[in-house]
Amino acid sequence: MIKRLLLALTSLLFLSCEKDIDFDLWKEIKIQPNGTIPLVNARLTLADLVTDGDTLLQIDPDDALRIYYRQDSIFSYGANKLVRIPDQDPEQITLSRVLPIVQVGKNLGTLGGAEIDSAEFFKGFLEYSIVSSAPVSNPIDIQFTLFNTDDGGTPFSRTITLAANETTALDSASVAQLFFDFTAGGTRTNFLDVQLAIQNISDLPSGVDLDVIFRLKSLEVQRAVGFFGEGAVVAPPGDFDLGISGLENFAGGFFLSNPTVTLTTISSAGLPVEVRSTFTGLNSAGSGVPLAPPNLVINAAPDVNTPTLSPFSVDNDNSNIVNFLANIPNQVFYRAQASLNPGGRPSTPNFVSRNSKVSVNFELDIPLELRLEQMTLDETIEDVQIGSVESPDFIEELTLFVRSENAIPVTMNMQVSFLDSTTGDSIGGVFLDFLQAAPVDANGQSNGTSVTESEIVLNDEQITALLKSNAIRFRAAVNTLNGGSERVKLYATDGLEVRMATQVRLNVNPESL
Amino acid sequence: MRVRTYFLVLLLLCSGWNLLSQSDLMLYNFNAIGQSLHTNPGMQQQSKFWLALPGLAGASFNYHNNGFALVDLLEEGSNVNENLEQVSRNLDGQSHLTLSGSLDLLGIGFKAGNGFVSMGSTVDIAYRMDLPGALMKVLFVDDNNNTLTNFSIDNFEFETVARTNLYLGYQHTFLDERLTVGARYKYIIGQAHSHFERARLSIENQSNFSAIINTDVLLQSSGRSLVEGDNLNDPGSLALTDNRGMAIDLGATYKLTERWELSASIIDLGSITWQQDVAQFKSDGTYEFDGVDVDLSNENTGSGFDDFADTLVEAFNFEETQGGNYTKSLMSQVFAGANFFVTPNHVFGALYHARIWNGTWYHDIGINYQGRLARDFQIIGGYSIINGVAHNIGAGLQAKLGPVQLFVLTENLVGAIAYQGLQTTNVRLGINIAFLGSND
Repeated sequence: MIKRLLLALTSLLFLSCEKDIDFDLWKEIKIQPNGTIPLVNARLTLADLVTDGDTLLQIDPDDALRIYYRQDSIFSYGANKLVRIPDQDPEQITLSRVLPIVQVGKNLGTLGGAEIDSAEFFKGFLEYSIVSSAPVSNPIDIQFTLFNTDDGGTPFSRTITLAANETTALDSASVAQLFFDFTAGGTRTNFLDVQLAIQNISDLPSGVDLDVIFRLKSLEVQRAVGFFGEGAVVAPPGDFDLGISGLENFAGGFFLSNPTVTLTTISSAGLPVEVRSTFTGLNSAGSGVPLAPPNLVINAAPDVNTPTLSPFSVDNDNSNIVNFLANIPNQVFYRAQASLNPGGRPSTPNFVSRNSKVSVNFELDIPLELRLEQMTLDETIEDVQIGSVESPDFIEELTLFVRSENAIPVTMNMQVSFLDSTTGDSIGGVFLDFLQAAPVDANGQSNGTSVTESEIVLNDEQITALLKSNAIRFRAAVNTLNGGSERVKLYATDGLEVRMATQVRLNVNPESL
Repeated sequence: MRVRTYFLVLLLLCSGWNLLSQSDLMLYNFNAIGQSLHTNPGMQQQSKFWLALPGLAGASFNYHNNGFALVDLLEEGSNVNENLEQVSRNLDGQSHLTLSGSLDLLGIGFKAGNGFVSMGSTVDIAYRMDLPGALMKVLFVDDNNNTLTNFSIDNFEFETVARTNLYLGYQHTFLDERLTVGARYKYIIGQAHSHFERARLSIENQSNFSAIINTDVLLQSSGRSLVEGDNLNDPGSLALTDNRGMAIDLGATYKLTERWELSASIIDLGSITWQQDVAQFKSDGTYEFDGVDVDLSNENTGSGFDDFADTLVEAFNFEETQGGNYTKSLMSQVFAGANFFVTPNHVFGALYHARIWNGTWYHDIGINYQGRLARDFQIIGGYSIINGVAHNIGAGLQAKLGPVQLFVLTENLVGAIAYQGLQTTNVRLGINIAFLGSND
């Protein structure tokens, strides 16, 4: 009995050993799950674009969208830009016992041919020095007088002293709030009437010459009257952002109906000015388009307290604004040059006060009524690594599902290209009919929803390209109805919902992970 | 002599597979060793005194996988992916994996009049889980009913436990030694535990763009922090936790006639209340997953897979709470057997065994031969079907060298050698000090 039992046991042992195990089979295991996986549920209501604090979009009471941007004093010229009096060249007069007093007429140097009748300076200095040909034993006093000034009812006068045993003296005096009459009694302009006189001539030894050197400098006008010349004044260049939420990454094809930019000039200077400005808008692709507005002629203010305000409408008739905005500028670079007295000497003198300013405001206020014709988005996502060298075919099947419900009256289709980032070449791709435009009423307002459903089955070549690529490029084209020929009006309530899913069958060898 | 040689060879073969051992079906009737009281406290003992030596008294290891054997996957010359598909298709709600082990820290038993007293301590470690058939079908079965977004897991069960039992048992004979009734009380200190109180999950595509996720998951754990930080250097804190429980074992044997004996027992009627370092992870609800939500007005529309993964995790809405307590019943076992005595030293038996885990009964049946070939040398051999896994040839022996008793038992001798087809085995071995009664 026991022997039989042992025999059975032994037989079973050998029977069990018949099948061998091959542990290397582990390396051949392939995990092959499949499934339909929701990927993205994307939503957009145009009102959401307005919540961004940086946006230029605004919502009207009827929910219509408009683009609004304003920047004041985009160009600005103050009094000292309009009346330019540089630091004067030094003047030298020599005094001696023989010539103890000298009175001369000097010209105030100006720029741009300015001829100043009168001026009061907010700030400025008279800088002067005495250089003696030999030391003097007693102090020498020299009186400096500007006869064409009014310093509290009398001409400006200062005494300069050369100290005993010294050969030089250096000093300065403020001319702030000093009124100058440069007309010489109505006969001249820019005229300075200067007198130098030794006060104690007996203390000056014979044969000793005293060179008096003086000049006006750092002059800033408090008020001035005259002819300020016909020169050109350049304003500092600058730039401002003009990004519109939702459009920053698009370029071109953005055609607004009746687009206008208002350039408002404000002048409190009694001086006609013509401003020649350039605006160049750069889009996300780095492409620039000039606005090319007309020159702005700014009339002289009737008086310092009554500024002139002149709005200039920059539109399709006088500028390149259609193409400028169609380019979807994200950033605008500007510069300007002002020509003073463009019509020559005016019949009434120019005047400025310290607070006088000529400035230009930039204002963009456009309803979002537009047509889009091939407005493009071109973005590349780098460093994409879906596949791997070890597992080149880990996706066996891939289908992409896209469903959009679009209440915005624009279409969008998209070319997705799988790139070799080294060469930049496309090695495959797919085309998506992404959005169909919502229907519109007679006013171009969306009045319904268009549903688009796409199913894109990637073939083996496309899957291989996707797995091999390391960058994906998206190129979308956006149009309004009828290929971009139809104008539509966008409202804050317009929106869309896009759902994407994929049906995928994987083939993963854990050994390769 | 030839028989002894044969079993020594088998012993050596077994030792090549497992040095730890435990037996349930083989141990049950093997009353030559005191450890048989672990399966039936009413099992009459051959020894009048036994001492399980600390560290040597006995260790066991149990492996059971009724889902597949190694050869089912990796048979030489086969297609492993076809094998995986077939194995995945074969898995059902009863398919599970069990790994467990136990160690007798100390044990002592002695006769006292018509009674027998036993006491001691054991450590049990067990890991049990359902085999994730639904998930494996998703991964390996080309079937539209089992996809990443169209599958369900209905009450996936998983439990792992580490506990120390301090026991005190007593059995008494009645009716002129024909009836023996025994009971054992266990005071339990739980070291660590984790389990799914509930684990139901389903994902169902409503459309291409939407999947409904239903979850009803509660994972409870205790003692996680014990294996973190400095606790590993402090055995005291590892062993003496605040998790306490109790259990009762009941058993009886009844000698119907001179040739027939009946026996039955129920083991581990009790529970442990886990209250140290309790953490609970809960997910309960219904969620529609429709991909990553993207606000197109936001320039930063996401970072690809990270956002997708985050959204998916959010969909399951797991909440973690710390603290509290929970009580978990032990996995009880039921034995019922009948023995036929051909002679007093040659016995044939039949045995039924069931494990009751989370309300589900897992059945084992077996037949065995018990041979008392000499006063100091006994063997047992048998055939069993364990939870549907057939062809388990078990064997065991005990040999006394003076008072030193060596024993080894295994449930699946063939599997110990031919691991290719192994689906279940357990092995127990140890050394006792035992003194037989004068009549034994």
